[in-house]
Amino acid sequence: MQHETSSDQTLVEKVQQGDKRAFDLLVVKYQYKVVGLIGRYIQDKSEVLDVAQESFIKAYRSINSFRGESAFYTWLYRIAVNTAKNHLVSRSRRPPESDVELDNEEVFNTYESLSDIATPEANLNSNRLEKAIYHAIEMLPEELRSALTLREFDGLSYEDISLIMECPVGTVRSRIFRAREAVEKHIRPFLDAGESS
Amino acid sequence: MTSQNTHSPETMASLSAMFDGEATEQDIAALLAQDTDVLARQLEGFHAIQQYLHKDEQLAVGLNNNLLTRIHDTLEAEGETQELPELAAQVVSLPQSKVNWKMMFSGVAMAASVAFMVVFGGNLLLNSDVSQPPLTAEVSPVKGAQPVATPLAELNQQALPLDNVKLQQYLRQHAEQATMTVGQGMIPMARVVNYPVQE
Repeated sequence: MQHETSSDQTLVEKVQQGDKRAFDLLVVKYQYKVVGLIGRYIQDKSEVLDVAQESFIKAYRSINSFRGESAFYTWLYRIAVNTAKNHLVSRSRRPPESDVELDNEEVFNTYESLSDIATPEANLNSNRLEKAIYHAIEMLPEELRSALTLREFDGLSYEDISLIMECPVGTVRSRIFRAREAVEKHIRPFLDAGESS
Repeated sequence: MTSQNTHSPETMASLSAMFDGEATEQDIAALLAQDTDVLARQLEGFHAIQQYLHKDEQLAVGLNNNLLTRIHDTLEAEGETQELPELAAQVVSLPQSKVNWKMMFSGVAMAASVAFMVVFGGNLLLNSDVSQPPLTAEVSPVKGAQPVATPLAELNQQALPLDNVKLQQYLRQHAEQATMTVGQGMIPMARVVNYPVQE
């Protein structure tokens, strides 16, 4: 996706110029994806976080070698997969035969492989959170819900959504943000409860 | 950088756009001026919504800025340890420099002796006169007996024509095989066949 690439590329260029905060933004943006990806290779939650940390540090160290020939996440994805495999080999564990496909990884449950160590309380909170998100999305006005689902389900760009919804790109951007904000406010108590448990 | 727990709607709109990879330069500039911890907290909600809409079985919560803090700590710790080897190298550099002089002189002396032996030995071999057979030729004290050792110069004279013949034969065979088997070699053969013969 062109927008994704250019947006990330801007951040990468800032990191290359010495702006460490730009790298922080990349971390907070992609940490869930990277943790989810590594979680498909490694079962233990603490190990997953260790490998995710190592992957981001490797990416930071070699960020000057990133030339923008691929999307930043594709580059980060390769680093994370290689780091996870090396971790398994170093622990004398066999890495999986095939890699996680990038497209499939997009819809991967971040903590799927960690569910076996999740406590009943955490599972209960997760179910509550899921229901809360469902209700919050149901309560959204039609134009906000449509904009959000077109973006999240179909992965459409703001420009494509603007063509479908016959409104300016700025309106799409605003609708998606307002939809997220409304749902986020609704589920915040559950998120905070999840952090404390 | 602000330390508040919530941001303005404009900042949140920029964050939402960045989450979708649709952020502009202005969005990124605005986000870089904000507290990353608060942005991470907000992004957690966006991720949870995304995961739910993607029908993930269990939603992820609680990552927030934990990973970011760990990365910061590691990079800072490595930054300190990277400075230490430089200091250590400076401390040990003086004793090492004395040793290096000795090692350098001994190395030069060794190289010079080897070079002398090679040059001197090579000259001896090259300047050896054919009329003066080498030492091996003189070890035949018994008169009338067949010499066990042959002079080197004589050996060379005998061997060279024989070797040349063998080498020429080998090269000819090699060239023939190459022309018959290798594609590149077949082209000249085809050209020769196709030339009109004038009688």
